[in-house]
Amino acid sequence: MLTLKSPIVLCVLGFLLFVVGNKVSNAQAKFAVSGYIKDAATGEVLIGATVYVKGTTLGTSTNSYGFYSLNVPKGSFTLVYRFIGYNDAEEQLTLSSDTPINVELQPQSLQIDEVVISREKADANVTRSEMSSVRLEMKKIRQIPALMGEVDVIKAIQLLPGVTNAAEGSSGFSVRGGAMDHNLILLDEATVFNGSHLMGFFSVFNNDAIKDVKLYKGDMPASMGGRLASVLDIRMKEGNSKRFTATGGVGTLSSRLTLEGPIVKDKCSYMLSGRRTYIDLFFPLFKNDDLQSSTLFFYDLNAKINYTLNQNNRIFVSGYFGRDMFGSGEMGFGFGNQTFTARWNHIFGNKLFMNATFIRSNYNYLLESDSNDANAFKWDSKMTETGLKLDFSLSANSHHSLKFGLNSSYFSFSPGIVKGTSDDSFIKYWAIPKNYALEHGVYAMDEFKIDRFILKYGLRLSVFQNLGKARSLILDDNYKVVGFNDYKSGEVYNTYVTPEPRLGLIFLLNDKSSIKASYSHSAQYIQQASNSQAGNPLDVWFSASPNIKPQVADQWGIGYFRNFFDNTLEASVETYYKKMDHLIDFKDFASLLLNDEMEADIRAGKGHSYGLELYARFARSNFDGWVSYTYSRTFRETPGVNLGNRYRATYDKPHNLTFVLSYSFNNRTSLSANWQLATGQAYSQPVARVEYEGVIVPVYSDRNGSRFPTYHRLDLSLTVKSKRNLSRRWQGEWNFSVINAYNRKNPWTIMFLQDDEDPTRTYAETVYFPMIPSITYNFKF
Amino acid sequence: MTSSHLYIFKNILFALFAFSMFACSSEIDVSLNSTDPKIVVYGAITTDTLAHRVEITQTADFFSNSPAKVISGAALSITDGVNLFPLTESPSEPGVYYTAPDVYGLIGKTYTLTADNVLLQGAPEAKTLIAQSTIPDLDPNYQTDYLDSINVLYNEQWEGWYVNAWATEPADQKNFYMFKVYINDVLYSDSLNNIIISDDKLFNGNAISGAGVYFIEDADTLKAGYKVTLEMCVVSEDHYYFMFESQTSSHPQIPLFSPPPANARTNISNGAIGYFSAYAILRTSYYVKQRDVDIKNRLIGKRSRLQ
Repeated sequence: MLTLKSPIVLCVLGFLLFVVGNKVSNAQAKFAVSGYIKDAATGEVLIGATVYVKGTTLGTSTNSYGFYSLNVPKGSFTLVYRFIGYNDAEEQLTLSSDTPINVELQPQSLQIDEVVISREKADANVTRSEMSSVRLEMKKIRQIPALMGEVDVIKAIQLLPGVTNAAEGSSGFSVRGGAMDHNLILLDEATVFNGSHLMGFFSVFNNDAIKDVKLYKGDMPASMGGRLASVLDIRMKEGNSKRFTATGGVGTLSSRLTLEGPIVKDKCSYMLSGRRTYIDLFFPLFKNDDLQSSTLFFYDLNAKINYTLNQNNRIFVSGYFGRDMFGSGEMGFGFGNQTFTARWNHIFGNKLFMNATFIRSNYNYLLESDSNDANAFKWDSKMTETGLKLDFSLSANSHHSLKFGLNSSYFSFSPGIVKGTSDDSFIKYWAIPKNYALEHGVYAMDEFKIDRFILKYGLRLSVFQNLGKARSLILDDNYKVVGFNDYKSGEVYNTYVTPEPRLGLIFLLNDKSSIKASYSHSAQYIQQASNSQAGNPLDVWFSASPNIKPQVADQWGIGYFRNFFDNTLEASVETYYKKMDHLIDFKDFASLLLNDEMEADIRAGKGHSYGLELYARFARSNFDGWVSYTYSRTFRETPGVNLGNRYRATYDKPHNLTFVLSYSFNNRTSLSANWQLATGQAYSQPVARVEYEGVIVPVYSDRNGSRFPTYHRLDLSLTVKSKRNLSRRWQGEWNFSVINAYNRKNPWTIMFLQDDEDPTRTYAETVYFPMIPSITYNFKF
Repeated sequence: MTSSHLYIFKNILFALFAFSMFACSSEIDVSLNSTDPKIVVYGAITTDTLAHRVEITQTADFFSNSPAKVISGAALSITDGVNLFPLTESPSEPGVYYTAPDVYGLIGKTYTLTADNVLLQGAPEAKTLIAQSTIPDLDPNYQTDYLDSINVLYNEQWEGWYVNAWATEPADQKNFYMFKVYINDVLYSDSLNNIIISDDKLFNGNAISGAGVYFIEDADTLKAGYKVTLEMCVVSEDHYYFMFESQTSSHPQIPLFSPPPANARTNISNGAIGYFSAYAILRTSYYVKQRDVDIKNRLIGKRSRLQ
């Protein structure tokens, strides 16, 4: 408890400092300059754009809605507005009152996929009051070679230090040794419960509809919570408010089309985006019977509309709908997410920014066999989150910026209902009882700047409640179900409260370098029942309960940040240590599907991770990218698993060296490459065998005691743009990608098999992805 | 959903996945650690009247690539607490021990297997192993009341034959089943991976009228006049999970589905592995009709015309 209490004490101290700081700074008259920073070509607000007073260190950046508010002393000065890939704008001012200023920045080029030249505020890497977070611009993500040409946000973040994929090719990812379900994936603030399509090989995010991607892998702001490892905050485009545009592409796997444009110029715009795969349309061409009667496709629809009522009020409504469909003969399987977000941004008196959000998010799947005989059944599973959020940010004065807010979500889980669908069905009706929960959070945080120090301190208080109607299992010490407790509808029968302190300290050594340190405590109440390595769409989410304590984590980080060569090279060294408790694990062979007594199969364990992340990102006029090296370890210890001994988590890959590079030969042609070299994944090997009923059954010893061969892979992508013709709006480009260019046999899995011909012979076989080329044509008009 | 459905379903997803991603596979050299050998005991007593079998072998290195070494010369007996049934080692099959041919188990009774003088090759001294198993306590009329009849039906999608059962699932208890099939009195379910197991969770107490309980994965296996026998074994909960765990262990690791590798439970004492089971067996047979084969041929014909 000491570790918990001491940060709380620090937070209280921080608030005292806030009061003192306020007294000091009030001595001088200050005014607020506030407004939105937008893209001059599309009218999209720019997230993370910076504004600062020329010749000083006084500055701020726009929030997730493109809004900034800066306190400046009375008098004359010049404001510089800056954003990556845009020309700077300057504004000369003489202030005598609070002043709203909206700015539109000109993109450096209107061409798609333009190579990034300038960065955020040049020294943002050093002066930013956060660590362990990365914002990736869509322009950069689009340059990265993509599987089947499907530009993929999640595959791009897997190249960042501290992030590893759950399995080769999978969109599941682990951040700093966390589990896949320790990542909160938000799309316009709504939770996406399953981020993948097609058994995990593609993510649900259609890049044409996405504007901004930010990953927090530590130093979590107090405004965020509910997951132990990371938050992946993805924002959709608002839609061009200047003119109608269409963006699209035709690829090997899918086609995409995005339409956007103003409804009322500069006031109201929309964005509508769709993607569908068409691999199944070619099935009839195959001579394989199974394929001829099969369906296999996925689609995504994104839509957003926003309306600016006036300078102080803006409304957004957005939604996502995606689904995968598999079918083969009588069997059908569909799964997908739906999210809905409605937001209202309001500005109180130039300084206080409010965002009120209503969210609804749903994940469900349906499996059926419509054979019309005794075998006919329908199995569905569904979960829904409905929530309200209220966030405020206030630039109190030039020393303090405050954020506070609250949120509340209602969860409903229906883990599985199986119904017979014909009169003869041998299953009539069977269901796991539905259950309900509430999760609330209230937070306040302040960023206190004084001289070369920035102190960030905040407290989040999270509250979780199980809600009736419910049947809760009573377990004995051996995890045996010995009875039930039944609760009435609406009855709160279990409550957990967790104070989650968050702290950060930045010391600017000089204008090129800084040291940053952070601590966060976080709790997770909602998790996924998955005991396979990469997960599958049938894995259900479940909540904490009287039998399942909230998972908690403490993370400490410290880093050194330095920029070189006139800020064209940003470098950082970060180390972290993370301690996790009440981690969800499952007993050996736990069968998690349609398990109405799953709580009896859960084993709570401990875990810890630590690591060192070296990261250098550079941007020159024709050459940019990053290089990173990560050393990281992660271990688990769970009673009843691996004989209670500590073991390597599957995501324990100590060494990882990554290059992500792009080079432009000229205005039309660019080449991108990534290369990764990493320790092979941990896995369990058999140490012996027995013969039983004609089958050789492996005998295993230590869990994850061995490793796959060393991993390395090169991906390449060449983009050739059509000749620029100023007289027409159509812009096209060809993209040629090759994944695994030199055909390295990196195992997806290693299987230990028995020879069909000679049943006494056993052998090992690797399943891998060979070189996969693809061609995509992208266009915009 | 019997496990046969889930099994088929997972295979389809895997096939679709493999197709869609152009995954490749190839044999690789892996060097494995070895461990000290352990004694392995597999055996059963059932409600059938016959010479019940217990086999004692030992574990081998995973890539040993030769039949398991047997352990001869042990002294075995099975008792229900009242009667003692000694086992004798078969002269033709070393390491395999049989009871007398007139032995049968009774529902609700607990059987104890004792194996004395079990000497692992290279071990300093012999061990005594004990295992216990109980035949589920069923309704006395279980032989006639549970399983009524079966038939077979060709399934064009999976290109094989469903064995459909008509039965009444007893409502008053949790039951665990193991299904095996004989074709013309020859065991078709000759491998751990084509023995079907199922609990009654999803259909407890339901009247079963023609549900697929077994799947014969080969279109040409059955011909008109063939005798198909379904053996429905009612097993203990522990035995069911032992089967489930053994099957899971023997399946290759697929990152999407497979739980972390682990070793199946054992009820053999003294550090040995394996399982001694006791269970009840019910049977019913069906003679494949010309009509069944005609249905198959019609379905196949329709499909080839489509191509």
